[in-house]
Amino acid sequence: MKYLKCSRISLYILTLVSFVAANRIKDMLYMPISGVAACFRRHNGTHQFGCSSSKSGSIGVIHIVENEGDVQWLETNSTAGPYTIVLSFNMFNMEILKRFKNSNNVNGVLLTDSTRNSEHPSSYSPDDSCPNRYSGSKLCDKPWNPYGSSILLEDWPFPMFYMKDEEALSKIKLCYLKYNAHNREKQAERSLCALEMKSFMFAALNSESCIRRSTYSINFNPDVFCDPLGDRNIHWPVGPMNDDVKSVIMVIAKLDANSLYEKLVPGAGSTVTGLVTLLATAIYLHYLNATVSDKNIVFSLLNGESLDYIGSSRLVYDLKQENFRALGGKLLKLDQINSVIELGQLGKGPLYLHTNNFNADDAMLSNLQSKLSAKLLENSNPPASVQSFLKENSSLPVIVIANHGTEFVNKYYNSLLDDLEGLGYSSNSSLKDLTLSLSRVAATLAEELYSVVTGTSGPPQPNHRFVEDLIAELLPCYLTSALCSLFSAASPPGTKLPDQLLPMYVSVARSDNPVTTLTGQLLALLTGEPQPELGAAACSERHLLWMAGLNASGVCINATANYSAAVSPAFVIDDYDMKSGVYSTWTESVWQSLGMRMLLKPSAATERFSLILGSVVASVSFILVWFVTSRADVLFNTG
Amino acid sequence: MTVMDFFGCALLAFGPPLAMFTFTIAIEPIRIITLIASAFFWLISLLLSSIVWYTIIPLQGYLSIGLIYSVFFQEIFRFLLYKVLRKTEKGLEKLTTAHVADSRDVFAYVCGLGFGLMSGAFALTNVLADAMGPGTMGLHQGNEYFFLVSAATTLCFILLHTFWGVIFFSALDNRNWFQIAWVIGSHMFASCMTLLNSYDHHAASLFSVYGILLVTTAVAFNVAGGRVQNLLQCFIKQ
Repeated sequence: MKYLKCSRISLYILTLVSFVAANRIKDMLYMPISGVAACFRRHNGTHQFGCSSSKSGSIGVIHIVENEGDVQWLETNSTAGPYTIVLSFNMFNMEILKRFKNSNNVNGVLLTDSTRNSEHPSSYSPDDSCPNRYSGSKLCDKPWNPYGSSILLEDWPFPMFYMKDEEALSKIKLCYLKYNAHNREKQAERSLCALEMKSFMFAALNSESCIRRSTYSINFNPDVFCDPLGDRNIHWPVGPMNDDVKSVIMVIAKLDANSLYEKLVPGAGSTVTGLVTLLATAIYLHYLNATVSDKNIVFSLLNGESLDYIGSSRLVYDLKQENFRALGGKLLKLDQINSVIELGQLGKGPLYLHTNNFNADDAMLSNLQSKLSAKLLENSNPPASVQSFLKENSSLPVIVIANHGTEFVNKYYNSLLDDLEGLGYSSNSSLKDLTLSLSRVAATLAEELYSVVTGTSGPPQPNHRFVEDLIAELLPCYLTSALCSLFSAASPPGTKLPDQLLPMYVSVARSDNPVTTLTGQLLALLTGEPQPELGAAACSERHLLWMAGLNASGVCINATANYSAAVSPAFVIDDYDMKSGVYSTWTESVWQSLGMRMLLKPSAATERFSLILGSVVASVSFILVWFVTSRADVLFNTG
Repeated sequence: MTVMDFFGCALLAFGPPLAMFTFTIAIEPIRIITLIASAFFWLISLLLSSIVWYTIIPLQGYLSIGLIYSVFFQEIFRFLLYKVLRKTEKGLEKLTTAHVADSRDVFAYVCGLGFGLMSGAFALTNVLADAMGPGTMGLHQGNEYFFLVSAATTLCFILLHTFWGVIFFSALDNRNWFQIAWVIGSHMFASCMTLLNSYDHHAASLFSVYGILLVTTAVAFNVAGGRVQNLLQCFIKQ
């Protein structure tokens, strides 16, 4: 502040420019562009992926790419590089990005999404055509995700940003038209409109070396370069886990999604549909009040599954190590698991049951198949969490319930477009048909599981309306905004929830994900035992959960839902060989700031002119002053 | 790349004063001391201007009013500096072999340069700091010659302060009210002309301040005892 004041006063005396609009000269030189999302850097045990700018920020002259001709011009005729490319989804694909990379003339890529033209592209998935290609139980022989471009799995030498701001985009376009677009052959001779992208990533090479460099023993004040990815898994057993329980059916779904840009990870089709169906199944089963004897059911939401099955591999590792005690402190062993049912990507349209090791005449399977009118695909290995179980025990019966056969239906798998619109809805349209299809799966599965554990033919009083209402309430929490009644009920009283979509990205292990916390609390609220006689203080004294409750008056919950760590075993095992490829080794780089600003890049000619003028004036003045001093006696008659 | 801009502007604004310092000030310690003292006086005038700016909040929005009282503060402190110098010149002579009282024009020049250097430093430092950055002026307003114009104006004001010092001190000695009026009036006028820069009239502002510099240089040359025929002579004399 003091500094600013001085600068102001001095400029009163030598006023150069009006300071009505801006306080610092800096404000007139740059236009910060907010509301951008950056691509960041991730590592696995052997490679680095994603993007990083140079340490001080990467500057490139704006070049708007709208068609093939613009790309060719960049490759052959451009003179004032490096450039920052501004493009929209129709030009944003692997082939063109590779051409930018090979041209060595690109210092940044800004992907823009005009709200005016909000139509999604026909497909866009930055993930692999075989998601988690190297961590499945079998080799991937056919592309499950035919739209996958593998943009996520490439090390880009330039920063990439995403922007959905009509106003900023029009400013960038205006600046481009004013300074860059005309007389393009002679661009190098004038000042040009440019973008500076700042997204410098501290980590480099691979997880192993960046973790080694972050080792705390080297210096007193350690610098951390990257963090392991991970969060928490959520588990809930239908009945209490006591000694009578001989076998367990696991019902699982993944809790995370992925995308190229930070914070923009909606995961609607790839994650939310399965997640919501699992929650509804669990809560409905709790509602049906199934009594468990020797066969129990455990619902698990697994985190970090998009990045080489972090959560499921950790779960299986813990089971194998006889170290899994998240279910009421009771140890669960791997060989107790009777079968695994996974809820994959779901939605409208036909359903498919991808099975392994199931007898075709298994009662549960055939009931599910007939009631869901699903198509049975035997020995089918879609990229899903069951892969981690199969990897450990290849004879374990597993089912993946999904809306796809051998190819994903979702055209935006693990992308920022995998949102409500990606599912085919606009922000205000009714989700009725999606609700109905998901509740059909949830109700059927819950009733089938009910009959399996109780040994009866089904629940005495099925209530499909309950499931529909539940899913109709759950979906907006994950697809529209976290500010919804269920999330509010599942938070401590007085919590302010953000009125926006929460990112489904698993993120770094050392910080808790809001989505995981809210989902865990929600499951606890709807499956736990309320203790109406306990107040807030008494509740926390007994280590129970105090939350707002459905009527927002505060309720104490004795929950059986619990968390377990979802950090890859690679970071738990001592001296684990990061290059072995057994477990997920994903880490995320640390960064200091992410930002973008527009500026006018001076032409080389002006810069040369000012340097030459300054040098000439300085040298001439030295000669002149020397001359005057040596002749001073003559000049001023003092001699 | 814009490191070139930075050095170009720095050399343009501070190259000539550096030459003057090297050949005329640095040769005698007493001149360096006087230079620093005079620079300090300018700083106090800046402090007063900023106190006024800070306390009278309604005037903060008007740049021109701040400019006017700031010019007056500078001229008052030039006068105070004159008074101090006259009071101390006998004492200063005891410290040094130089004849302070006999070379009043030299010390007036030293004081003027001190004023100029400090005002120049304050005027340009912030601009130079931003000249380093990757961007140049012209995105919202102004043009790419902003930094050069700033440097040239700063140079002009450093030289103006130097010659105003020479004229002002001698005019006070001789009670030449016309010259005093010229110093204050041209200071005010030149400062006001820089306001034109906010309307992108860089040429008008530059030409007028350099025009005043030309006249002021001529007056100062005359005051210091220079004659035109002498000017010719020094080229002839070997």
